[in-house]
Amino acid sequence: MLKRLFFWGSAVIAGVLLGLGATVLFLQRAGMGGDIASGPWHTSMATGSSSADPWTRALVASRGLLALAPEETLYYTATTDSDGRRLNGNCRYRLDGRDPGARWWSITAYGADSYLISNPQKRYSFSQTTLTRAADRSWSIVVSADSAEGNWLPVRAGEDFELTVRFYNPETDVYSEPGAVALPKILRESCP
Amino acid sequence: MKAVAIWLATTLGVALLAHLGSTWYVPRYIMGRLMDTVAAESGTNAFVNRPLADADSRTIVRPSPDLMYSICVVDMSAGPVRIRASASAPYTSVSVFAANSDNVFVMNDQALAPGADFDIWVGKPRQNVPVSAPSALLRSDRGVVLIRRVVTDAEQAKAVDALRREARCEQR
Repeated sequence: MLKRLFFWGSAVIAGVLLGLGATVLFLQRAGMGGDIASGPWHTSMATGSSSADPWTRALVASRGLLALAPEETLYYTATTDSDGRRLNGNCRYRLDGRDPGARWWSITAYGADSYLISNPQKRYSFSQTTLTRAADRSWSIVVSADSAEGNWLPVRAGEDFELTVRFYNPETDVYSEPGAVALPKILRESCP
Repeated sequence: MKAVAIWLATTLGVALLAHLGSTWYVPRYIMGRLMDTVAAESGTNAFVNRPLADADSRTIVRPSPDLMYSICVVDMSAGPVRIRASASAPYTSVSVFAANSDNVFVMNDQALAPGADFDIWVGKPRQNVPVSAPSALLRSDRGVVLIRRVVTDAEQAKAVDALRREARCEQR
């Protein structure tokens, strides 16, 4: 009797631990971006959607709670530079771009814990209304722990970070082909 | 050998159920915790106006530092809830989230007639919600209404902050 109890009990306990462990691992390891890629940027058309599968819903809830459905807002996230290397505050990056097709947009830096990165300048993002542009309306943003001239987005040295672009009311061609959107390249300029 | 196979099969079967069940539960748990936190601050059916997010903001992950958020935990157990708010440029949206975190409704300022305000109802099926008004129906007793307003600079932020404090989230 005891032997049988141990047999079935150990199987149930092991199964529960394995199943819960798989859920935790999935939430920790899965990228926030999504299944649609544009260079190093990723997005998903299932974010916030009632038709999302349970895994997408769980991931969005844990990493981007209260995200709007794609009909209203598209979120693109990058965790690597354009050459596939993890974004890290030890390096200096440059983003070159033009205004994307949306009513309003912004680029925000987050720590690996998905919160804004503390810095003395209290600067966490750039948007279409706060960027300094060149004469041809193009712009560049330097992302680094050390200060830089122009549009500088501070991050913390030695720590991984992520970048998220938000498109509010994306234009029709953006929404219909989210993988074809011309998002800025993330160029690593230097690393110690 | 047969016992090992049975043990493994049982373990894997339980693991699958545990994984599916926990994956299903995670968003509901996270939303429940958010609603409890906000409701503890100001009760239900009342807007809480958050300051602009900074590195100390830890209530919700990935907040935008360019948006002023106003959040209302709606409790429809006693009837539908009416949301009224004015729009502010350059962008304002009112969104409704179900208890499982799905974004079930969103309306932005471009959908408003000139000079009009947001007037939205949130209720449950079979509750008395005006048919002519924009509305969201939720299956659960509770949900979240979130107003997002773009902030462009410090001066505009003051005006937006004053405007958003007039918004109402009231049970009818």
